[in-house]
Amino acid sequence: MKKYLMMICLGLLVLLAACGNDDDENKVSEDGAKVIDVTTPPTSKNLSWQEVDGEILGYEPGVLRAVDEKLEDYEFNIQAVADSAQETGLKTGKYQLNVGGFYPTPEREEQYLVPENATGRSLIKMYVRPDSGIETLEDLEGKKITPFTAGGGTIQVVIDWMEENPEYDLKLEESSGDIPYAQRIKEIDSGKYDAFIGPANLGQMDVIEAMDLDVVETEPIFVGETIMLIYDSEENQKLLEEVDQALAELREEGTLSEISEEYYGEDIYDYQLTEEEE
Amino acid sequence: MNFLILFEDFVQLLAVVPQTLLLAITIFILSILIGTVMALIQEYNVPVLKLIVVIVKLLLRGTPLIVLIFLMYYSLPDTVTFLSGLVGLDYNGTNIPPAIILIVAVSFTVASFQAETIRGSFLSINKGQIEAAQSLGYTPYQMFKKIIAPQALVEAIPEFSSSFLIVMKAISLGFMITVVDIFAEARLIATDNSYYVEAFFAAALMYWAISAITVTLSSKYEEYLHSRM
Repeated sequence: MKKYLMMICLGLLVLLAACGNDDDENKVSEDGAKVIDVTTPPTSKNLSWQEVDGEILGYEPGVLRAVDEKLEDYEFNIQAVADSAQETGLKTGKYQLNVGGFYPTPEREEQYLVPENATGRSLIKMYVRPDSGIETLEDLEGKKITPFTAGGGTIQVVIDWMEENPEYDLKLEESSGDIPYAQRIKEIDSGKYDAFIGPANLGQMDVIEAMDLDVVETEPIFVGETIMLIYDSEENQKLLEEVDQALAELREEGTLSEISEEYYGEDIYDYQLTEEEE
Repeated sequence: MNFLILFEDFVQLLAVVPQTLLLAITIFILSILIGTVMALIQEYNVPVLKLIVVIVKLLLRGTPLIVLIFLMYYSLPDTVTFLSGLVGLDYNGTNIPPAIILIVAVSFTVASFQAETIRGSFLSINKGQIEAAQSLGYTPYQMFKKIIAPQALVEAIPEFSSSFLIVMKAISLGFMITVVDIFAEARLIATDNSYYVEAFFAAALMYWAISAITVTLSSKYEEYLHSRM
């Protein structure tokens, strides 16, 4: 009996060792294109999510696939990876390209290569109870706002707004973002918080309808562009140029609008970008 | 690796060390108290309570901590509101600070492991000593205080020090419900300057320093206890 167990253990070890190896080898696909690792978030439904069977769907993966089709020299190996692991992996060169509704920031542009053309647009809306009277950020003074994801773009938008409007004192809290959006919306309904601020198009309206919650969405408080982040290296300059070119073409051909219709049910390019104050 | 940023991050992290330690020590002490009660109930075969302890321990030890924090976050406020309503108090449970929720969740989880450690150290005591004490007419309380506790403590010290380190790391899950500890602060710093590797490495250095101190102190204390035996 003991012998068998030993053999099974040894077999498993060999198998594990073998699995670990093939990571480094298949870097070139059959038609000679370079295979690169690209990542997208696993749990942001409609923007980017992973199905139970492992399939990765959403607007941003949709754009990735469309870009991949245009690139001849590269082939994308799309993986669903959670947020800080995404940025850490890109910083160290484990991943070559990330999407995930990232906003352009000076820090990101300094550390990564960023295509000039955007991946998509992000609309930030507020989710409130219909009788709350909250319509704009000004109305949030003295209200309880659900905690923001640390490092997310949403809190940055609110902080920027507060810097421009110092007469309004909003109380902001940060958390790891592990509490799902759907749960946050329920906390508005239950009265635990007064407002949830976040990127629209994460399927909030589906949740509100499905659970019959007493929550409404406001007009966007911010419309911004989202960008791709590329690992900063000499050889990725070519990738940057080609991706940039592909994004420009996709936008012109209307493919990006089609992908938006498919996942968001509306064309995000219909909204006017929020003016950046210099 | 940018060493200047690493150094700056490390200095910035120092600011949250006191609150992280305070949380960890509170949870650690509570977990030992709760764990001791659980172990005593099992050792003294208290009817009904023993069954409850066995079931609760099984559930707690099998539940991932992140799931438990999530469940507590949603059920504790309502439970407290309900309970305070029963005794005629009008307390709104939604005002419970998230740190309290974290303390409750982690204390009970760790306590269910501590209970086993404590039980094990009780069992390590020579049966002959207990029989001797009984024949001398010791009450159960006297026996616990004079004979069981001092010896069991020596056995349990190494386990306790590793469980303290487990608590230190476990509370980083509290950031889910806005509690900021060393790791959460590292994330906030990284968010600010986008230097994730440096911030996480600085956090790791901080944890190593705390572990080194904890291990040193506990082995000193263990030696001291041995020298008195």
